[in-house]
Formats: sequence, C-alpha cells, structure tokens
Amino acid sequence: MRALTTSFWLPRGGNDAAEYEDAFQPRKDGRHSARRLRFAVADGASESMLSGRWADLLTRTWCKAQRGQTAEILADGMRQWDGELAAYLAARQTHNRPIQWFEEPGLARGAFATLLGVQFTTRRTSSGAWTATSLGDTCLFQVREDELVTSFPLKSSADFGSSPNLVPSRGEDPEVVAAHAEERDGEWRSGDLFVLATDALSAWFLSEVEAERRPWEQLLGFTSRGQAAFAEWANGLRTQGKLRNDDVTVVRIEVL
Amino acid sequence: MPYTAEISRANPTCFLFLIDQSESMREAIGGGDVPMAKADAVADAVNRLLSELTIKCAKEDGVRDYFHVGVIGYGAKVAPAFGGALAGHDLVPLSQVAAQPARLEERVRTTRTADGVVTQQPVKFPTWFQPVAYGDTPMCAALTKTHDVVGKWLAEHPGSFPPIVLNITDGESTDGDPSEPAEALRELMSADGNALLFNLHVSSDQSDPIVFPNADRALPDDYARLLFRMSSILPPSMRTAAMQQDLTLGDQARGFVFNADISAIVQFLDVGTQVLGLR
Repeated sequence: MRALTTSFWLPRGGNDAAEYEDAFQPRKDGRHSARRLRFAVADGASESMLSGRWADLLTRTWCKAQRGQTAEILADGMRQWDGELAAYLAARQTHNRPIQWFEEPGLARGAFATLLGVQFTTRRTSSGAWTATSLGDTCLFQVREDELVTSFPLKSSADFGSSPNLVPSRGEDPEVVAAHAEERDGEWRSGDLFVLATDALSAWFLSEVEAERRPWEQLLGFTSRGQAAFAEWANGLRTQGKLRNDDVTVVRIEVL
Repeated sequence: MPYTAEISRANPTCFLFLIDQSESMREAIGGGDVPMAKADAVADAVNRLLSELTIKCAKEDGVRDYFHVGVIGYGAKVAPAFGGALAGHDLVPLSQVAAQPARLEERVRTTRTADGVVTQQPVKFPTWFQPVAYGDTPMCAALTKTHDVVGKWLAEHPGSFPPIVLNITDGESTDGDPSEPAEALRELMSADGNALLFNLHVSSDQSDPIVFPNADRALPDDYARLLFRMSSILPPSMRTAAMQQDLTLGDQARGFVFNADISAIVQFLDVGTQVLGLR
C-alpha cells in the first residue's frame, strides 16, 4: 500500500501543548509505502493521571506490534507502563516534587485512554484489506468517491458521551479489556481517504454528514504544513459551538 | 441548552458548602450500624466532598482550578468556616484547598472483590473541618450570606456553569422559614442557567436513607419535605451522568439526599472524559 498521511493536532482551548493528552502514530507525515501499514490514535482521559503518556505508549505499542491479538498488545503496553510509571515516580523524587495526597488515588488506579488501531495489508498494488480495533470513541472514517462508506465504531453524532470505554494502564486483565474491543474489516482501494480522529472532531464530522455536507473536503483543504491554518479553523468551529472544546487529533490517510 | 457550559480553568464555576454547626448537631444520626453524632457526619461529608472534588481535578501538574470553593458555617455565627491559611475567605481556588488541609490522616480502606477477596490499603484522608455543634441554626441568614457570595461570583463570571450550593443540615432552622431565601438563591443565574441548591439532610430519624428522590411522598418528616422542596431539580446533564453511573433517577429527581452519602454528586459534574467501568 502506498499512502500519503498528514496529521493535525490541537490541545483543548485554554490548555498549552504540554497538556495535550491525545496521541497518534506514526508521528512522521508524508509518503508511506509497505505491504503492511499500521496507524493508531488514542485519547487520554481528562479525569486520569498521566493519561497523555499512556495514550502515547498505547499508540506506539500498537504500531510496533507485528502481529498478535489485541489482548497481547494491551498486555505488552501494560507491562511497559510499569517501567514508565517507575521512571516518572523516580523523576518526581529527583526533582524534589513528592507525590501529593490528591495524586495517590489516580496513580494507584492507573492511566486511561481510548484506542483506535488500524492495519492495512496489500493484495494488489491498488487494493487490499484493512482491520480496525477500537476501544472507546476515537473513530475511523473511510471515504470513497466522495461518499462516506465506513464510520467506525460510532455512527451518529448523538452517540458521543463523556464516559467512553477506556483502556486502563494497570489493574485489569488485558483479556477482559480486549473482550470489550470492537473490530471491523474492510477493503481499501487506491483513491480512498481514511480519517482517524478523536471524539470532538469525530462528532463534528458526523454532524456534518448528518447535515448532508462533506466534512472530508474541509479536512483535505489543509496542507502538510497547515498546522496553523488547522488550528485557526478548529478554533473558529469551537467559537461557533460546532466543535466541543477538547483535544483534537486527525490523521488523514490518502491512499495513492 | 442550560447547564452545558464548559467547566475549565478559563471558565471555572463555584461550589459552596453550607454547614449546620448548631447545638442540635450533637444528637446521633439515624440509621447506620455505628452511632455517630450528626456534627461528625457533617464534617465527614464535607471533608469527603472536598477530597473527591480535588482528586477529580488532579493532574500530574497539580490540581486544576475548575472550581472555586467556599464553606460557610452557621451556628453561633454565620461565617466562612475554612481554618488556617484560608481563614476568612469566602471562595478559594480548589488548588489552594488541596494544598492546605488542616490534617492528613492515614485510614485503611477495606475492599472486597467480586470473588470475595478482602484487601486493606492505607489511604490518606485529608480533613479541613472538625465537627462543631454550638448555638442556633440561622439557616435563613446562611442562605442570605450565600446569596451575596454567589451574586458576587456571578457578576465576575457571568458565563460560568451555574454555581452549586450544597447545604448540609438537620433542617431545624431557628431564624424562620428558609424557603424564601432558598428560592432567592435559586433565582440567581448565569448565562448557563440558575444557581443549583442541593441539600444533604442529616437526621436523627431512623428511616431508610433516600437518594435524589422524585417526590416527597416517602420522606419521613416535615424537615425532610422542606429541604426537598428547597432543592433544585437535577439538570438533565447531571441526571445523564448519574445514569451512566448506574443510578436510576426520575426526570424530576432533586438534589436532595436523606442520611446517605452525597459525594456521588461530584461525579455528576463534567470536567472532561470520565473513567467508568468497561461496558
């Protein structure tokens, strides 16, 4: 598969870049060409500690996994988390910032994030299969010949709430978590567009589709150096009340 | 749609606790296995609520000031009830509350898993308040003072999620019928809706606990019915959040709790993605 990917991200209005808690992989935009390509987007939960780090670790773990079931990938992520957490706690100690009483329950409970992972495999030069795995409300959209042909896992802008399914970094059996994952298969063709997006932008995307508009046209309007233009556009939607004020992440995959 | 304003550092809301510190709070609370003075139950409820609110807003860079918090005590006097460095303040950012509990106790939390395994873990329990039970119950004066504090907040934060006031009392007002000042308080509003007044009734009555009732039929006495009528109907956004936490509430459910834990109300407030069990 050959694809051109472009990613856009923006922290919640009022937050700075260091407070952005979504994550996506691969981080590098541009042309990708391989028989198998993997992408992932995750959204760290606001009401959990270190959720941005966990979202980042989950997306990296998903993309690095060559094969394997969801449960194995989650188990791998949870194993690595123990190391990340230990390093974090050690750094706090080193910097003379001891853990406060109000942080202890959150650190003990673990970090939480949604996860959307997708793998594309190639059959012929211009077509192949994709498999997506989802826990939570981060969405995948597939657009073909100017029509939305897949919306996964949510299908309506009304489906978004404030308590989606989340992957915990600890304290749960990965098999049990994976049992809540939804899977979807499909086929890709040259010319298709895939959009992976966290909840706020996904909800906007679906509300546009419900109003019989083509939101992908707006997303295709930004160039790979268009972060500033994207931010201006997203902030405009926030001001108009069309885009919920939340971290925003979009990964645009144009199949060549 | 009302009660949908974002609660954030840029657009915080306020959460005011009113605590009945009158003489009658020395009496024991009804129900429960262990006898407990109502004053102890009140102090416990406020400490627990402040702790839950703080944990909800805690991130690795500190506690985010989504809420400005105040505590007004009413008994021998009506006055801000924070002690220590926060003494005398009507409202303080939550991060300051978090940084300055009066005491940090070690308690043991006992949990039982679904397969019956019991585990005990040490947890830190911060306390800001000690039980007080002295003097009359000037609830009308307390509601009037609250009206001033909330009114001032709204003048400075006209677009905030409406202020939330939680009155914790045995309901036995000694300075008149509190219905009118309660109504005046509920009539204050931001661009996002009317101020919310909730009541936690700490009673000596032995009746079963009641949580967010729809009507006053099952309530045991006139004090409970009065506090029920004074309580705001839970806005749809909070009711939806309650239902996501498996609480079934009627569409007229009020922010009223009789002899039970009200700390769940903190989880009805939306400050971003919440962590609930897998479904």
